[in-house]
Amino acid sequence: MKKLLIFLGIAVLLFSSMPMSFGTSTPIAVTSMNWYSTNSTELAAPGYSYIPLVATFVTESALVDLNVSFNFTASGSYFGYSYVHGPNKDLRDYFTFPITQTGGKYTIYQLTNISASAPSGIYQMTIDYSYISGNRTVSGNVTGQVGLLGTINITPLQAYFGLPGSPISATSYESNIPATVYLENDGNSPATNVTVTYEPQYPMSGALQQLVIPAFPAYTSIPVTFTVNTGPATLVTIQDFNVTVFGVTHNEKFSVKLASFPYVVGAAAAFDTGTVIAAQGMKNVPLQFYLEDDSPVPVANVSVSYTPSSPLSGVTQGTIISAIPAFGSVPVTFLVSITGNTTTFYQNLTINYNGTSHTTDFKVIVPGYSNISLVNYYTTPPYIYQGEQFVLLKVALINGGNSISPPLNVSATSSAFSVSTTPYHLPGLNSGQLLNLTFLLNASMATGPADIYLHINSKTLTLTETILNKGSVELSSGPISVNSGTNGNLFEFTAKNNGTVTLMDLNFHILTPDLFYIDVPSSNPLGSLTANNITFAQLKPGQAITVTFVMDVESAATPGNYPSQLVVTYMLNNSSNQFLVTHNFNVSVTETPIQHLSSTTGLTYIVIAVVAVIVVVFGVLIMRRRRKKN
Amino acid sequence: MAFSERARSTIIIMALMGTLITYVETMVVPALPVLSRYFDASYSSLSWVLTSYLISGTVSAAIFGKLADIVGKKKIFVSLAVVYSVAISFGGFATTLSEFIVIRTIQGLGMGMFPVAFALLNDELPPKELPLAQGIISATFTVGASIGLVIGAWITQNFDWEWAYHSAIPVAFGLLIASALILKESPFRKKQKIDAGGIFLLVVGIISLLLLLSQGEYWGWTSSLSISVGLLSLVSFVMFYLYERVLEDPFISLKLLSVRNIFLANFAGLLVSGGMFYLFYTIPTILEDPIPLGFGKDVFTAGLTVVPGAIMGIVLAPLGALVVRRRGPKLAILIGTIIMLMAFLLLYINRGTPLAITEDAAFIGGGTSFVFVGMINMIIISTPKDSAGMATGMNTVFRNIGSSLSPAISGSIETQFVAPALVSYFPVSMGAIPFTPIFSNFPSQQAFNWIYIIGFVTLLISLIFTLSMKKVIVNESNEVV
Repeated sequence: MKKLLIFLGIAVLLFSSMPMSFGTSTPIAVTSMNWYSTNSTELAAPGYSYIPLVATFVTESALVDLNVSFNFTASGSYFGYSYVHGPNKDLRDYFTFPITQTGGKYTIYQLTNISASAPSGIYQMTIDYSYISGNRTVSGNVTGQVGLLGTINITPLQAYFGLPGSPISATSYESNIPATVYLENDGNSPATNVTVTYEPQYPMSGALQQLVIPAFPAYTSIPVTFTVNTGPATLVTIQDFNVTVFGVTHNEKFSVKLASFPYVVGAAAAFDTGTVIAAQGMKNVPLQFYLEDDSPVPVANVSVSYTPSSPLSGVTQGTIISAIPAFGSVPVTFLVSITGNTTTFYQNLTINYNGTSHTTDFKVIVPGYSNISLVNYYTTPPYIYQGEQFVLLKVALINGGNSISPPLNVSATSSAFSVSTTPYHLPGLNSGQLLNLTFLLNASMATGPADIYLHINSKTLTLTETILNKGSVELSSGPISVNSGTNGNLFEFTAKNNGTVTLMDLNFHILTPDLFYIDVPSSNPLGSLTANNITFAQLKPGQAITVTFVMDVESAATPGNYPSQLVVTYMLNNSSNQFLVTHNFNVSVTETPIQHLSSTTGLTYIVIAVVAVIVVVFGVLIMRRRRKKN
Repeated sequence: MAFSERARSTIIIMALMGTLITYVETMVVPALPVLSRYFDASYSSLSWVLTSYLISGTVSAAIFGKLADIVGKKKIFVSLAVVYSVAISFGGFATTLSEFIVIRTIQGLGMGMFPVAFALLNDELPPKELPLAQGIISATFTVGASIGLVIGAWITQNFDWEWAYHSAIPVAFGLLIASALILKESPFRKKQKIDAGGIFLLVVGIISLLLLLSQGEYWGWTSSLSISVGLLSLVSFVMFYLYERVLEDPFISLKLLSVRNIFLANFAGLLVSGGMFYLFYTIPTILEDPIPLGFGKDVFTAGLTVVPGAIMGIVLAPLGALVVRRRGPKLAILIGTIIMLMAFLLLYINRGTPLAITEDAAFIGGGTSFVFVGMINMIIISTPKDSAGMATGMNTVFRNIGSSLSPAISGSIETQFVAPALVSYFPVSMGAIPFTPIFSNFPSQQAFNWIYIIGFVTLLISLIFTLSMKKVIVNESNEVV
């Protein structure tokens, strides 16, 4: 940095010493501008006062009563005039040349105060001029460049108890002991009258002290020594003090250690999970903290207390370390659960030893992560139709993270499907492990693309399936009433396509109790093999057809209603799926008057009547014959 | 022995008519399983195909046997031949089982021709020649049965059962014309009253009994209907007995029945006829039902299986007649009954192959021939000549009662004991099976076991009856001793 600044300074000086050419209308031209003297390479730094700013210019022609001065007002707010020739210090120096020669070279200067807050850099400095041309005064200004490249940076280099070059081992409660702070000016410019102000702060004490360093050369260090009293149980103390350079005060800090007091600090923290990488969702994971005694004094009985904080959770735990060797470290392990998803965070340990307590921050990184993503999904059957039951949704998930996932709660919801499967509660998924899940769905009567939401813990994946139109066939029948023991009864049904798609390959089957049979012509007994299968090639939307079965009724069919069913199977165009619709109906069996008479009850009465008639008629006949014989 | 020309013509016509009637009657026997499928009828219902025929035949024999004595035997014979010819002309056109049963009932009227025929022979032949003539006529039953079983079965198998009926039409009408032209009217007349009340009571009693046997399974054996029908049958039989006792000229002459040999011969005839029809009703079923319940044979094979029985009947008929002539009818009946008894025992224990069944059927055919020759002679011999028509008619009644009872009993049992058998299949796979089997119920072996046990018991009772008969014989001078 220093070399760079020097290089820049030299470059500016060289640049500024080069002849400059301006517009032809300018009567004078600045050829160089430097601090201190013409062609000087010495640097000026912010905060400097009474620094001569020297400019050299040439005239383009002979000028009468040429009046020249620096105009800092036009050059920015960081520069001020330092007038030394009179009481009014705000006035600038004017230089008057009665007659100049063409091409004559002239030099002017101005004592300058540089603001301590002026940033380093190249500044355009304005020079005003005026001269008499004929009977009028011509005025104007030209600019020249000057670098402000000097820096002053005074910081504490080191500090210790003792005098410069003679450190001492300080302990608690010592009074009026020296504490030396080495200050360094690592800027490229010297500073003068550097004021150092320090008032000891707790746990140290002492009076306000102020020291002035008259000159502080660049790249040097200067010790300053304060008198302090050490306080109670202080391990290391960091003290504030002020350094004032050119009126600008900086607050700086130095720290000193009590030589005989141990100092336990947090060195590092990491999860001790072996080959498994710690990740969110893990429970009771060992988190190891390394405590280091950053002092030459060993420490014993260090009590450590730890309460996990977000994103970790767990109960407050504590342990006692029997001893930490000087400059040595000892690990302590606590069990935590990683609940949050923050990967880099701090955890505080409370450390208690030698009667004092302090907290230590540990930076903790959760290195592992899980990423449950969808590999694939499909349904069985692959095509889902309206109202289809027991559709299997097969989902393949993978943990694409580098660590085991938290336990998984996986469920599926959908407005178009009812999901029968209860949510899965699964253990964590290892890195790279596949998980196959099956959900049982029942499709609604809606059609078109339907979203199925797969909820994996707090994450939701959207799967899309299409519910296809399965058509709609309405089956109806009028009252069917037959007599027992009759053949050729017509069972008529109406099938109407109420849907929007054409139904193909319709097959009608009738399912009745064994008392009803399809009428099969005697001439074609094998017709019974196909009789119960009436087929239609297609049924267009809105179309209705009448299906008639010719049925025989067993004579054993007693009067009553017999629940029966019509089953229709059909297919849709371009689909191998077969759909089934059923229609329940009752077959009412009634008796004809003759059947009623010949029914078990009716016939019984008739037979008894016949018996009675026979007994009476033939009884009479027999009696008559006997009488005749006698 | 030489018959007169007139007697010869009469015997030929009678024999041919007997052959035709038996042909028509027996040709349906091997076709029974075919008819069951054709009319979609249970075996219980199907039994009415035989039963209706036999009942109407019974009524016909009872009525027309007497009517022949009153009006003239030829007139009645020809009239019945007309009815019979018309009936069998319609037989092959039946479309339902009910129609077919009605036609069979009308057809059964033709059986009335038998007592008329025997009466005609009785008028024209001297008692000495009568056994041979009777034997020839009786033999035609077996010949007709043989033709029916072979040709009828062959026609049924190759041209369907209707053509078996159609084939009988020209023969029937040919014989009708021959009867009208050749037969001479008998001069014997007898003023008689037809026992309509007796016939009615007997028919009601039999029909109600058969109804009970065939429908009891459906109604429930202890149902009110079964009990009332059973009561009807019982009352009818009791009233029939009481009524016949008080009549002077009864349909079933209790006076004749009081003759020991007539009573025993008639009841033995009832039982033996029943036994024969157990065979007729079961053997086609066993042979034609699908394996493993049956042998899966065709109708013709089933017919052929029974033919040896018919041939044995033909072969042994003259032998039976010889036994009758030389040793009397009792021995012939006894031999025949024992042979049939053995046959039923064999049917129970030895029916594992069609050949075994053929053997058993041959035994029954031979035994039947002996029994029938002996039985008819026993009755004729034991009956006064003027009551011959009534006696033979009465015998026909008894035989028909036996014949009609056994199909009803068999049908009931075959309907009760069933087992499924594969009858066909869909060429569509069902589970692991590459086709969809279709099963149907058929009578099980248990059904046949029961039927043959009943047949055996029936013949055993018949044997006891036979042993109880008096030994009678016609000597050289045509006297019964």
